[in-house]
Amino acid sequence: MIRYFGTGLLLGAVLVAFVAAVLGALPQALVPAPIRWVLFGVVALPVLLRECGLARFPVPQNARLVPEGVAQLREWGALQFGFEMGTGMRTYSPSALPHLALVAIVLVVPFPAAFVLAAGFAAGRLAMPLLSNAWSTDGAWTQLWSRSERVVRPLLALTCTGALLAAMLAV
Amino acid sequence: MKSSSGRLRPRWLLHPLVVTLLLLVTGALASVAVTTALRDPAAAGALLLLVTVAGAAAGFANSGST
Repeated sequence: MIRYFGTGLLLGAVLVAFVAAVLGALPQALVPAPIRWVLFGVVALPVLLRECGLARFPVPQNARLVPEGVAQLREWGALQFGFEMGTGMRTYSPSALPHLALVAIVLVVPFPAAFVLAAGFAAGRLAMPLLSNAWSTDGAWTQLWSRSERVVRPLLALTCTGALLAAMLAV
Repeated sequence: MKSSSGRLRPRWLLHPLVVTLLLLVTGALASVAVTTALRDPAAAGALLLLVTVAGAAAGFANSGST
């Protein structure tokens, strides 16, 4: 079942990356790189501050819980659920990093690399159920995540922002 | 903790912080590689690794959302 979920995640993420990359083709072709870098920095800085707990502002999200019945889904259901999760539009988004990744695809990430970024996103999203299932069957990993969140989220923000900045300057 | 096959599984590997640090280190190494690569294929590979890490960090950051 996890394979179907993972495939759905990948398809959903790649679709969103494709749309964002198509939308970004025009600014990437017409707007000079330094201006796009500054624009990306203008978005990245508040996101970094938010993830570090130094700023508070809402981000676009689908504010609803995943229904309980999802756990009983069969193959196609898992694929569809994964697809919706892969688009990032299925449920809450406590982090603004997916939004930052989307902005990066529009402004600074080269077209082919957008799909690699999407694959990375799907892998990162898939990690949670894999780790949680391997940890225990009682959902204790989610509690572990909650306890670690204060440290983990700033580190992930640093990783994501730093990697995108390094990629941006290397292109 | 024992897996179904009876082998001992190092549980600390599954900790969110360990995964996060793994991503951080990979990203740092890829950043160094992309700036010091002497050949184009190596630089391109490092660049793809960088965006993969960025995507994975973005995806993993929402692990608390269900």
